Amino acid sequence: MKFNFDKLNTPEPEPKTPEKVEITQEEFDAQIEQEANKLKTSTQELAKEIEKWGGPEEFKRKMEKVGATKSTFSHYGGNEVKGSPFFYNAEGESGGIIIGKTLGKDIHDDLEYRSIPRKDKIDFGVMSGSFLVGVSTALDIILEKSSEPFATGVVEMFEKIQDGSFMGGDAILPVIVTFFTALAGGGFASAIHEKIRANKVKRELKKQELKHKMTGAELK
Amino acid sequence: MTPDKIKNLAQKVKDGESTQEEELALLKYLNEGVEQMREFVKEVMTTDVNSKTE
Repeated sequence: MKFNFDKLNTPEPEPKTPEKVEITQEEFDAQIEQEANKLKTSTQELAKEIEKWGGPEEFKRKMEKVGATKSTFSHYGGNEVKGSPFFYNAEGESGGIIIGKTLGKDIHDDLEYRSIPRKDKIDFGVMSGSFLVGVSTALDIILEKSSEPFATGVVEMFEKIQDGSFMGGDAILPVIVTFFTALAGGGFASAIHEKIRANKVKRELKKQELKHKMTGAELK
Repeated sequence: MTPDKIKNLAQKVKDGESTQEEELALLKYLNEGVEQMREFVKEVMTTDVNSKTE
């Protein structure tokens, strides 16, 4: 498996300010529906893919086999957390989740890791730590901590990594596995879609109220 | 987008204080995140971990 460090070294682009393009409300509504439906579909696909390849238990087994004890990762722009399979830049730049295992060797910097012959290491793909934190933070807030504890677990984990109080790579894996498998299936996507729909109704009611106030008409 | 920015955005959506542009931005961000996760899961689950253990 090719480990693409170029992807890691490319900083996440800042979000672009939406261009002021004149689109109708219907077109905007359609875009939102499209993205919301895409979110539902892709989380359902995630669930199917996990099942196709052996289910959450297999995911957990592979993550445990490689990820926990012998992994050491370097940073490419942020804070290093030795002994942890994850690192995250406290200033907000994109960190990376790299899970790799070397055969009996602890690695303390990126160059050293890259120098290990490929036959001596297993590495999984790379995923932006920033994305994982971002997604879980968004879910944590929108879905309420009490109803979606998996999102809270990820956020808390990364907060600890950020402030340096996180110890032990083993504890990360159950949280990550739970997060991924609980995310799959589309439930949270539907909840967010409903929230956005409710917000739209609320905005429209506000507009109506303002309109009535401005014309002096009473809202019946 | 940094996690802090996403956090602020998500809070606005939750509180019903977001604009439709912000809601669209959040959806797009979440979509991108889930796609990354799908890629990650695929790599994890299609990796042969048995042949290279200690």
